[in-house]
Amino acid sequence: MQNIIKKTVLLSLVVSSLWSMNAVEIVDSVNARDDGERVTRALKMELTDKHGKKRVQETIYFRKYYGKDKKSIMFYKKPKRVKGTGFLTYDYVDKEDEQWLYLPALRKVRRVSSSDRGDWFLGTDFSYEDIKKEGKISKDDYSFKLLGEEKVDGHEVYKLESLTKNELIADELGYSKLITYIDKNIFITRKVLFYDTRGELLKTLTSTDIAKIDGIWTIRHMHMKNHQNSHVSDFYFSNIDYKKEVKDNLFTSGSLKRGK
Amino acid sequence: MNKLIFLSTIFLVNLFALEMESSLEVKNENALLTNKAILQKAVLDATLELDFTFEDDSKIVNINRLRLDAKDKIEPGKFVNSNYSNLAKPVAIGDTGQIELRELYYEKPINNTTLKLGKMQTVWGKADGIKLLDKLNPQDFSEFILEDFENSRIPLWSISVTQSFESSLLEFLWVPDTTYHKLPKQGAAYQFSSPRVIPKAVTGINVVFVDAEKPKNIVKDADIGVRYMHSFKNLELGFYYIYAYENFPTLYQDFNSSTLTVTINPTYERSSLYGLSADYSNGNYVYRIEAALTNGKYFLNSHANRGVKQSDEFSYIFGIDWYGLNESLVSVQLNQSYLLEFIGGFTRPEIDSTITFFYKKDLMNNTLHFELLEIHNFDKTNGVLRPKLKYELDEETLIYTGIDIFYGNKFGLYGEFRNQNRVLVGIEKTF
Repeated sequence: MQNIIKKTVLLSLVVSSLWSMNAVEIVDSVNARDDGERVTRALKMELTDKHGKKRVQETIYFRKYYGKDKKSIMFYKKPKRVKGTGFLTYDYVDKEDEQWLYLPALRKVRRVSSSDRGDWFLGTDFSYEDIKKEGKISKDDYSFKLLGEEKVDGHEVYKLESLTKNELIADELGYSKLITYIDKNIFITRKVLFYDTRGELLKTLTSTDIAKIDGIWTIRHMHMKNHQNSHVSDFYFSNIDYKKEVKDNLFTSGSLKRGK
Repeated sequence: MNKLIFLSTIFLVNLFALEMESSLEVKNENALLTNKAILQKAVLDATLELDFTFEDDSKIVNINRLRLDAKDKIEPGKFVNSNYSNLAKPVAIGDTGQIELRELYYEKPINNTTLKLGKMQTVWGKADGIKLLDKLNPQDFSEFILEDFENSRIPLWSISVTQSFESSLLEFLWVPDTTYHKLPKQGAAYQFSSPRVIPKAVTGINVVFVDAEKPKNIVKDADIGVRYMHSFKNLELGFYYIYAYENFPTLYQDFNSSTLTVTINPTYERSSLYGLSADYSNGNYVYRIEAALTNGKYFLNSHANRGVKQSDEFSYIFGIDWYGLNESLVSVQLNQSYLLEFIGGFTRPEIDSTITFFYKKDLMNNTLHFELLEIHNFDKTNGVLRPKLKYELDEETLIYTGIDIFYGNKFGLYGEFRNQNRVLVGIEKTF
């Protein structure tokens, strides 16, 4: 009898090890998740400082993949003071990205450096890298370890530790470690804890209001809280359309200047 | 009657527009002269913008500005508008105000072509704070270079046709509007006196300025511009040709020996500019260059007949932007201008060099901004230093303070305004 029990337990362990994923496989699944060859969406950003003062900015965003590379463009619609400000990015896999900024007050399209991926994105608590990755995880920057499985908001998740591979990367990104909670069924990140280069908790990202749009799992609310300065950024995505045509000539400096 | 026509037009356009957006920016700026502790300006600007978008993706943009200056010390007395063409003139409100149709243009995309016609600002080039290729629109020098270019650039009636290709564009510009630089009048705070710009009066000789005779023919005297931009890899190249009247008049000087009088006859002369621009990014650096060869330009020369001499001029601006510090930009530019037919008597050096330094830091989640701009001209060692602090009270309200400090030789382009150093305080609110 004891032998049967032992064999049953051993068989269960073998079977479960065959079916459970390792850390890299989880990351691959996150990165393989369909996020649409193209997308058009409105983004409302609510930025709240430690005194409770809130600023609201509204933008419209277009993105399109060209193989593994992608181009995106964002236009500010509100507040009126910055209306017409535009930001164009060419994200390349194999070479340095290119970025341009259009400020209506200058009437010029200005090329900007794309190297500061750890800098805050336009005054929010997201970095340029956070925005660029759109929920994907870089295997070039991190090494991974599966810490276990938990629940976040009632959803079963993998708990993944990501450590930056070296100090240079940590300095560039502004992070030494991430703890990521990835939905086991749809491989969307539900929560991320970001640790700064000193190993202290910097900020927490929580993604909610996740729904299937045009067959693609989509996050519609992201809440990022910076624990070190008590600033909060809420991103609300709406009017999301993965089917609407996005013309190639939208991703040009001429389009940036015209405001669309 | 004009008001009625304007309002009726707005009403009709709004009726057919798919969408209408409006914004009103109200700005109050005050400046205190540091050497006299008196208020130099207390200006209220109200800028109304109306944008109409139509179903075919075309749009009409209308920008109007009302300006009132309670102190009237920048350009005291009657508003001078002789530099403007008849269709571009602002309307004076007494001596202390003006109302101006800043821009009114129609823009229509047709496949990969964009047609734009009306009164507009056309900005070419890659430089900051100083201009080389950005010469299509004249400038209002009432406050010298202290006003933002967006506000001091004078929009012109123009037609622009831009053809976009996959990684390039070609633009043709036709400007029949014969409006030129608005120069500070006699007695203005920023009246030019540097011998580089104004012929130096000799003791015992009377100097009489005659009104400039402006070109008037909208066809024969129109300016034209062509530019071609092409992007490949990390580089964007631009090629330019501008055939236009110089916005500064040539100051011909005629001496009458019997009356011991020099009469200065400002005359607008045409020149041809061949230019190029490029920008390139690599790591934390962005490199920018613009260069121009101008034929047919006139310069003051005390040995020459009528006090002016023609010379070709080659100029360039080379800039480096460094983004290596967090939330910061450090930018340095070198501008050099070479007189290619240099002889004795010119009031400027053969090689005129200017360096600019710009530092910008964003703080508190982009609500607080510090900027420092310095422009230093090596001829007669002079320049201007402009630190500024801006704070966003809320999304639509900005408050700011700054200092404008002119320094150096009093005969220099900037040093001549050493007695106009000032502290600025302002607020901008957008509705």
